[in-house]
Amino acid sequence: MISDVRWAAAFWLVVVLTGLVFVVINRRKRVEPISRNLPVIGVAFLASLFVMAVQAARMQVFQQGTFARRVGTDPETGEVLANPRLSLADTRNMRGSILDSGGAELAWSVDAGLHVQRRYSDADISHVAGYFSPVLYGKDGIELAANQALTVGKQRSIDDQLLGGLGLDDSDPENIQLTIDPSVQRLAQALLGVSIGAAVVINVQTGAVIALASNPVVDPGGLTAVTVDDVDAAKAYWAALNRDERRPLLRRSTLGLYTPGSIFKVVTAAAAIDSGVATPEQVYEDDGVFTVDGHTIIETNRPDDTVTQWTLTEGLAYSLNVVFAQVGLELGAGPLREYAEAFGFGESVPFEYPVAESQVASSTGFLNEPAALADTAFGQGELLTTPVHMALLAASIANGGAMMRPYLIERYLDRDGSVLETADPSVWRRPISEETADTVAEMMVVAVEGGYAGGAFVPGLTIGGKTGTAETGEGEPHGWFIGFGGARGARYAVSVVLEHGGSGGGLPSTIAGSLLSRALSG
Amino acid sequence: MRTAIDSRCRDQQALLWLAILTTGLGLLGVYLARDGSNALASPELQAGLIYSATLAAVWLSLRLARFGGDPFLLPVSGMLGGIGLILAVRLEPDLASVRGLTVPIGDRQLWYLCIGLLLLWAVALFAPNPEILAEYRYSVLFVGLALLALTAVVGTEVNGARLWLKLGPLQLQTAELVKLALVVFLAAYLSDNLELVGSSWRLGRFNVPPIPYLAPMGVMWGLCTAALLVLNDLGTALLFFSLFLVMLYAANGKISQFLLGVLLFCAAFALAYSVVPRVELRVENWRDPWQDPFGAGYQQIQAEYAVSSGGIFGTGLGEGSPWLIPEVQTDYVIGAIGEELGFAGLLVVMGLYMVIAARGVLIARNAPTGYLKLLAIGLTAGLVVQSVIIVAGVFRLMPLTGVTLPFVSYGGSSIIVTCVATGALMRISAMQPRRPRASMTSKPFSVPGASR
Repeated sequence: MISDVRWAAAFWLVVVLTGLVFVVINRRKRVEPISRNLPVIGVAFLASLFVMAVQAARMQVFQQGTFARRVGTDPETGEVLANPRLSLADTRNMRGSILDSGGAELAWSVDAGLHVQRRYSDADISHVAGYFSPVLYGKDGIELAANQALTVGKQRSIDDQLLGGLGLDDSDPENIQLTIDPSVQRLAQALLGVSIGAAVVINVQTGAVIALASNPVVDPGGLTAVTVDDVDAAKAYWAALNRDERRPLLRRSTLGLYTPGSIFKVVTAAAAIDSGVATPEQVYEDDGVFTVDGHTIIETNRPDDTVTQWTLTEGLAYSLNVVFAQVGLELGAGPLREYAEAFGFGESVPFEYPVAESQVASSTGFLNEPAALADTAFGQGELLTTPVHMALLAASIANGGAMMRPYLIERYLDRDGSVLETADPSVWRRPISEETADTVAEMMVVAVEGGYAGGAFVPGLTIGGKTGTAETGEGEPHGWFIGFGGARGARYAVSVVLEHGGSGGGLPSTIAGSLLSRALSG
Repeated sequence: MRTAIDSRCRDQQALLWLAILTTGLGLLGVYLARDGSNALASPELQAGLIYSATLAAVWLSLRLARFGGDPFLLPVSGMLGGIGLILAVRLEPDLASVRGLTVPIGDRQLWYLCIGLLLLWAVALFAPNPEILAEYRYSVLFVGLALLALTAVVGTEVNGARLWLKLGPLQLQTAELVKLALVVFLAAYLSDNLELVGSSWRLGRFNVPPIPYLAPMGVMWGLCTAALLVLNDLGTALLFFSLFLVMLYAANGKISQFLLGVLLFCAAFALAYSVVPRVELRVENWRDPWQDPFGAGYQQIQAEYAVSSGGIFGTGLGEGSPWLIPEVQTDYVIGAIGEELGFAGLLVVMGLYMVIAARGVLIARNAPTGYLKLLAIGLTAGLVVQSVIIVAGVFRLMPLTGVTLPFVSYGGSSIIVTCVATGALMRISAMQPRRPRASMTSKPFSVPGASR
């Protein structure tokens, strides 16, 4: 990259050289004294003006983007200076609304004369809609993901609009209707209460996300400052959010990476059944202690310590680590990894929001250690995953093995409310056969109706699930629950995680049961 | 001969219509962008009508008076002035609401331009032979220096530079007037001493520039350094010295003396750099305005954002945000053109200054006497060098020094002095023994009868 100063030097050199060339050309002409010198001056004038035009071409045509998007930071305060035009349109133009599945506005813009003010229904939707802070902090969430539709319409390029000089008058912001069921979403936030964590509810047949809760919430209305008067308050709020140790700005539902713990046993069981290594009725020896490769696994989950023979179904229902350690070892490292990857581990989930990538292990050779393989099979090891991915796992079990691509935007509407585009549900992946899925689903129903996942039980509903209690090495373990509810064909899947929330059989299970019951009654 | 004049008139007429059309359409655009309700009462359309009428009247009067001088200068200045008017009218409401500007710059610019055009007309048609001024060269110089000194003592300071002289309700940017005085004096002095400044004296083995050269050089150097140090006005110092160098070169064609002048200027500049913090700041700011994006570099950065955001065709009048640049209506007006009219608009503006440069040089070449030649090239340099200094500053091709963009920047002193200078150029062009032909097909620098 040639610096601007060098460009300038080069340009002036051109002017000087052009002048000198004309001095030489002019030398031998015999004209009256003053007139003789004038061409050189004229040429120098023209060359200087020409150089101005060339610099204009640099700034406006050839390196336009570089010049228009340069960003600087104040060395002392750290404040960032960017081209205000990039955000100016955001403060002046009306922006489309974000609606919930019932058509109620979650976010909308109000024309306040000189500027347009963004408003939000409440903080419970902050991790769904995101925030819109044109002057200070940019955009996040759906406000960011669907910015084009919300500003100028989905078919237009924003760069054309902002920098191509076409003017903004013909922009046609669209409204966006989300898949979010406001009653489930608000219940999820309410049930999370003071706990730090996330809850996701998905329609298993379509992949529509009807609740995407993350706690603590952010008040997006506190960041929308457009006028000078509001800016200070917004800055203070932003600083407080960043100081908060609970990290409210982190959207845990999609970006929170947690050790899954026992909920991963669903993957191990599905892999074992699908590959024919095991059946639900297969019996495993579990007398409380299991040693693999010098590594001892102590079993504390048996409901009856006198019993040493357990079926795979019972192993899932009572979350028996020793049983799943053996299943994992029988399955082998390769197949376990392949099934995990078939369920989407190691890939980013396609979604309107960025989703952190779930991982089987940090290093490729990790699973080759039998002890590590055994740990991984019951959900510890180096496994990491996100709430939204685990909701998809439960959904795929409930949906005959087809894992739908999750989505949050149901339709795009124009100003008059007519539908421009509707979501087109599609299968993201098919990790296991329909038969396997149904088998595992039944095992999960047993876990709720007779096993440790009973906290999610709701009378009159068919609910399947799996708890997880993920050891994190420090403090209370993370409590997990994944599951599904409803009759085949009208099911919702759920995942709940509470950071350091203790056993998954406690609060996570009851939250999941309430959410499924609300989703199914809606 | 008659037909030649008629065709020239037609050419001029076409160009004039272009100028009027540009102004009219531009102001219509501003009007439309603002969603006015009552078209006839809108200030944009009124300004367009008044300006176009004045321009047309000046042209008609010149034609009726059988003005035989340069046909290009009036339409070209008219077009540049029209662009300036459009921008002043367009910027006024935004600057009022965002920056609290209380001056009705649109109206004022309109009246400055109308007065300027009338002065241009008067000077072009009725000014006495400029040779008369040459008689009073020292008086002219004295008046200029006195004005400058007066400004230094009782002038008003604006943005750290002392540029303004208050005369009752009038505010005068004295440097603009002094510029004219300087050109007149230099033209007279240099043409007087043409032989002397062209020669050289021998001192032992060396060729030494003669005293008559060194004297004005010393005076100029002192003047510019004083402007730099006392008035704190970089732009004026740079402009004055450039004018001097251009005129000196025109007079004697000696590159060595030109370079000596450049060296002297560099020395003065180096002195200023170490003494005046403002100079160092400007240079640092030119090198990298991003060192202090919210402080010293802010204006420069905003100008670059504005220009680059314009792209090829610009945002359209009234659709951009040029008011984000501090002082956009004066020094940074080219930034507003870049944003709203784009690269295309800047090319037009640069092209118009190129026409002024070319015509000015031709007028100088064809002027009957050495004094008039030097006067013409000095006046031309006053217009062209000044526009280069400010445009290069805004485009960060050199440190920014505050001078106005001739015809376009908002400001009475600048508009009026520029119009008078253009009128004087037209006056000189009408005095030529053989007129420059209007047709662009004539050989660019063909030699007039002198050598025959």
